[in-house]
Amino acid sequence: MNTIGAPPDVQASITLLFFLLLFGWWGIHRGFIRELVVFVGLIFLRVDQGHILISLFNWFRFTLQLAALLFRNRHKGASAVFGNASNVYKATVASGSANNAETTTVLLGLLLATIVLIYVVSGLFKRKLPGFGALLGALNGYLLGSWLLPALPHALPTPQVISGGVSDAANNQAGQLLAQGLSKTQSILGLDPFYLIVVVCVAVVIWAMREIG
Amino acid sequence: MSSIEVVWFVVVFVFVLVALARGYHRELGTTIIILLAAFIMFALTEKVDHFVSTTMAPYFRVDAKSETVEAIELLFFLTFFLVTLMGNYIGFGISAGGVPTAKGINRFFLNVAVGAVNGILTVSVVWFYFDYYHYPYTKQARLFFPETMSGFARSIVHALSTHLDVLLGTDVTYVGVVAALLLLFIVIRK
Repeated sequence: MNTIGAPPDVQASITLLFFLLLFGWWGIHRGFIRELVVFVGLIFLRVDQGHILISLFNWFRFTLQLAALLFRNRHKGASAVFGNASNVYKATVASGSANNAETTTVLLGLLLATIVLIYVVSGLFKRKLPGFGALLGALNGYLLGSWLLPALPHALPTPQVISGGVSDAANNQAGQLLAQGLSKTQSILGLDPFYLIVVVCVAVVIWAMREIG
Repeated sequence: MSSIEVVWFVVVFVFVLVALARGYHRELGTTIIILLAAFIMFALTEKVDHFVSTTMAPYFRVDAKSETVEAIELLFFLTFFLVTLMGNYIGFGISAGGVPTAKGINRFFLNVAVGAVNGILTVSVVWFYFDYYHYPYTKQARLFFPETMSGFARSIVHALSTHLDVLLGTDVTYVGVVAALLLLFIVIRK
């Protein structure tokens, strides 16, 4: 069958559909309020484009170094642990390569950890309105899918991780690189209204299935 | 808003009214039927095109790419789709069974939403086929002039052309999606 324009990645579309089903189903159990907290968190991450993540990570690294200094003379074991963590990170920074696998792993892990944290925090809220939770859960699945799924078949763009003491210009560059990576994932699956319609339709069907006795 | 959009919105509205009368628990069966019918149609499109243009067109001595041939192909698919849809409504379709447990505003919302989903799916499939076969004989009948479509209508047609035949296309992975959807449906019902 002929297609007009560039067809989207079929595999990505199918995977995204399963993602939506999974998160929609999960949204039913978690409820609207919890999914709303996650939604706000994800939107914040998307708007911020990772700048705060990098800053927090740098502060975390300083904390590690400080702890290593404090413990160095008293606890050799602790010193070794913190020292190693710091050295690994220094090596990543020193290489300065955009294709550094460690940098990619650190950033991807950081992003995943933040998303997990958002879900954990949202669990503190009450479970209410399961039906609307399915809608918002599927939407959250769509947001996460548009971020994470393209990282599976495609090489994740790898921004530099900037350590403390590096100039603001370099820090901004890192932020821009991360932003480019995120925008690239957006363009692969796209924030196309068509997919939003699919999201809503899938969520409605899941909710309706749930409400049959 | 051009006339074609008004027509399609009216169709969706009619589906919503039907869903309000029948209830979302019955309309879910219709959703599955529409998806399956669309899949079968998309899987058969190229084969039907080939058969009509290579076998029927020479027999009736018409050009394989003429408007008449496209009209025949369109008529075939529309008939198949509408018969399947009507068959479902008169009792030959898949039924979810059971009773709706949602109450109050939730039930009303679900009736409207599932009806709208069915309406959008139906309109999308029909519109896609009209566009795919270049709206045969609609100009002569003074029913519709594709050039007069608004930007919004063009964007819908473009989205259908670029996405629908991939999502509902001949790719074998779609069989998996439909099977998973049906399986999920059955599992939830049990």
